Amino acid sequence: MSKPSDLLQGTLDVLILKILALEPLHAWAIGQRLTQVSRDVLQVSDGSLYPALHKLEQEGWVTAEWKLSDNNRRAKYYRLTAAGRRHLDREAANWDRLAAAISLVMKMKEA
Amino acid sequence: MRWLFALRLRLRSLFRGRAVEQEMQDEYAFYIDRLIDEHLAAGMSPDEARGAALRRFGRLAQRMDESRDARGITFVTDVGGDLRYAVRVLRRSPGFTAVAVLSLALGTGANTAVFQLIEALRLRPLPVSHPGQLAIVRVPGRTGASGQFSGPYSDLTYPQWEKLRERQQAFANLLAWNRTTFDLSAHGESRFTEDGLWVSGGFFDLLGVRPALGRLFTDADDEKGCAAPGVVLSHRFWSHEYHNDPSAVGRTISINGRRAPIVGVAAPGFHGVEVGRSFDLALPLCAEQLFDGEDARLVRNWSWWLGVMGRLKPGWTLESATAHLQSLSPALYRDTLPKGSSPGTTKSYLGFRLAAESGAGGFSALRNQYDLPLRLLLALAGIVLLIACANLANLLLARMTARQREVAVRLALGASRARVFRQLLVESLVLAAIGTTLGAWIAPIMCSTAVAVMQTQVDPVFIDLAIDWRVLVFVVALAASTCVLFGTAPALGATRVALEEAMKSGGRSSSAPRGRLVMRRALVVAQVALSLVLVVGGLLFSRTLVNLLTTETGFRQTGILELDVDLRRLALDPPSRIAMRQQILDRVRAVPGVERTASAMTVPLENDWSQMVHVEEPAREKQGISNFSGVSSRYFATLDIPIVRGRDFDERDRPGSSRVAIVNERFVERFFGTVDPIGRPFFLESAWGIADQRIEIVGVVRNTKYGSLREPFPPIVYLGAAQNASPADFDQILMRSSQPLPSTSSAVRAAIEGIDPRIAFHFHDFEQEIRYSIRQEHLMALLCGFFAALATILATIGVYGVMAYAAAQRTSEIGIRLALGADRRAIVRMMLGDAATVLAAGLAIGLAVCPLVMKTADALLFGLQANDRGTLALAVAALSIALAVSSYLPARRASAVDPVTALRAE
Repeated sequence: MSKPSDLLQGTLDVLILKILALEPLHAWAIGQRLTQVSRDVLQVSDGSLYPALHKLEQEGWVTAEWKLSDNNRRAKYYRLTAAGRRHLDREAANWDRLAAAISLVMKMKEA
Repeated sequence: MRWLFALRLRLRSLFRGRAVEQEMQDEYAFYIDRLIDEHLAAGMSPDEARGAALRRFGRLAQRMDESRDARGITFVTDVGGDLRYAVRVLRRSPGFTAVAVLSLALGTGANTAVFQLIEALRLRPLPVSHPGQLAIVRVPGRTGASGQFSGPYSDLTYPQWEKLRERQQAFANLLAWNRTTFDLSAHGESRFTEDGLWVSGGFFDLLGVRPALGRLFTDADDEKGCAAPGVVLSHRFWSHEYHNDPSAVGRTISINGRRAPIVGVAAPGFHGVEVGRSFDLALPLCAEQLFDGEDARLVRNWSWWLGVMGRLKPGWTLESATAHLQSLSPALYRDTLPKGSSPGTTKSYLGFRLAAESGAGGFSALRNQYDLPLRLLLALAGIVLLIACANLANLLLARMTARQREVAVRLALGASRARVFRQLLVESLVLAAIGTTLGAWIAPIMCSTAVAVMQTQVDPVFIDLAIDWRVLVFVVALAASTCVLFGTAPALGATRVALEEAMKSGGRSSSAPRGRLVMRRALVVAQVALSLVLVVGGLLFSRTLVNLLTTETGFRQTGILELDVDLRRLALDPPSRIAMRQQILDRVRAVPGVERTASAMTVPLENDWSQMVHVEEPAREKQGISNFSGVSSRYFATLDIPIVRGRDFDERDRPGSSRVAIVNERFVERFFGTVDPIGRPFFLESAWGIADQRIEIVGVVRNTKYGSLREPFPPIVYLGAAQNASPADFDQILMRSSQPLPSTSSAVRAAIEGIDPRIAFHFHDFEQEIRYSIRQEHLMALLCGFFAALATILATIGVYGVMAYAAAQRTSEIGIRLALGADRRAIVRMMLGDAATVLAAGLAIGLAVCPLVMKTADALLFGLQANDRGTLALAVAALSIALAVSSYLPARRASAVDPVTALRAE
């Protein structure tokens, strides 16, 4: 029994869902894609992807199957479910609102 | 759909745990391999690459744990582990486990048994279709009715039933019924069923009962003057009498010496409309005249014998039906008033108003009789369980002290307090579950023991003790609440230990928190207090039983054989009936060994007969109700009732001679005061066309009990049976013999069969009948005594435990005292003084609580009251002695400690 450790947990979930929205990937590839898309800004400790993925799976937002990977080894590929897509849309809208609000505040001129 | 996904995954994790785990590890391995590959590609050596990969990955084991947690079943698997651990721990201390399980089993078993009885009698609706629509039609709280009454549900006469059925609008259907005794034997000694039913034609139809075989009654079976009625059997009766033989339908069965065809068998599970009884066979009401002959109640408008139940029409409620019944009552009673009723009787008769009462629970005299006793028993059984819980909490606290180190180690290794608490609670849960399961298993045994005490040969009890959902809910709730009651406090205490201290002390109990001893003392105080309540209860009911058994009845109880004869099969006219009755009496008197014999219309504690009488004195007129019996000569000699003035009945008293009576002293007191009654008359109030009868008193006898052992001596009039020109075709004969009752009865049997094989007869033991009349008190004494014994044992264990614990705690202190020269006896005194405080507190609280619980018991007691000082003193003394012994033993052992050993151990 351990406490949820990652402050960015919620954010990481959305990022994973977003990445999976494009195509089914295995965990390794998700990590690669995250670093690459965010131009090395977002770096998660590689290990924390797994618990996050497993939680998403239990929630029913992603589903997984074992397939052969590009280097001919069996890997677990995660795919977004319909429920996951709806969740992603909701979370994305939330994020947009939040980001806009933060940006409004940050752009305030000092008197 | 999302939850379906989730559920599937959780179930897979739960049942295919190994595969899921393997997949997870494969997945992690794949990732790490890819990391290593990357590092290798960057030119690292294999070892470096592996190290770097693992560093970059982070804490692998923790990640895996998080993934496992994500499966959402850790709680289940953890509890599974806790359960296995709990079972292991409990098996390691079999003594503790046995005491715990046994005390819980007895506690929960007693509660479940009492609840089962209450459930069966009170809570469960009749097993018929839509019981909620049923209503019982009767006059609530009826007083002043006059006539013949048959059993506890004598609500209507037949003419009233006919009028009611014709005129009412509130019910879709009505049924009328009466429970009766049928003689199933065709000749010779009677074989009675107490569970015969007279039912109206629509009885089964209204209740929605289907036939298991053949057909049930319809209105066509119950037409006035029916000449060839059929019989419907209950499924139970068909099973044990006919062994489920389908060809029983169509055969005939002998009832009261008359044969009737069996037309059908009712569905299994239907036991009639009376809770606490079953039925064996049913006949239509119209046939009552055929089977009961002259005594038929069907044609007497002063025979109250029918219980009536109806199914409300849609839209009608009990209130609207009652209003409707009230409005039709005046005309109904006016039209059925028996001719020649006395003015007083007429006035109350015309004032009766029918009402509709809920009929979902059926009719039940047993329910009314045992309502208060059962509620009291449930309260007492609850107290037993509380004591068992307190005892168990105490034992657990002692164990927690011993396990302090184990708990401390777990906490030190990082287990959360909540986690350890849960594990300890699971142990309690296992105990509660095993104890309650065992309790639920012994409950039916206790139940049927209770039912066995409740019933007699002539008053059988049938209670369907099937365990239904209410009992199950009760048992589960019981298990859960006991677990919480005895498990929470010790577990909370154990997890609140100060870590370093527990570790430092090396698990020895010398520095255990002081608070725990306080809690244990408090538990013992509670146990002692509650035990006192139960011991008082046990004593009150045992003394009630003893008081009833030894109460002065005024008549001889032992060695009297009772013979009931039934001459109906002979169909005699009144004169030959008188001759036959005399012949039977003479033959019985001639049996060797039979010393005194008499016949009686009512036998004390078995039958009732009361009537209005009045007396004309010179100064004023007195009137009131008196009990009656019709007896032969030598009745008083047979029962050892002294004749204090005047004479016994003799040859002078015959049909046609002037009517005489013998009365008891209470009657004289009540109606004559200090005037000598011999030779004076009193009058039997007119009833049903018979004018006032003048009766002269020729003798006075000592007082005796009449209807019950509990009531004070009532006024009794004994009429001379020999003066009755038209005696009943039943008789009850009491005989005293120098021989044992069984050999007397076989000699008498031969004598009766020698007169006429068609005479039906039946023996019973008078003393046994008297015992039967106090079976409720017997049951209460038995159960309360059992509870009291149980409570005392549990309290003794509790006190012993605490004292032994306190002694162990103070070993070093005692060692020091001894080393400094203290007297061993002083040590014992010190320890006992400690115990005395606890006992005194418990007893004081118990004495304060007692009246609250026992207040309701007053109505059930006899010869003493709930606050009887002697009983309270006795209970305090008994409990004190038991507890003093149980605290003396540990105290003495403590004082026997060797000071050197005690000090070295520190």
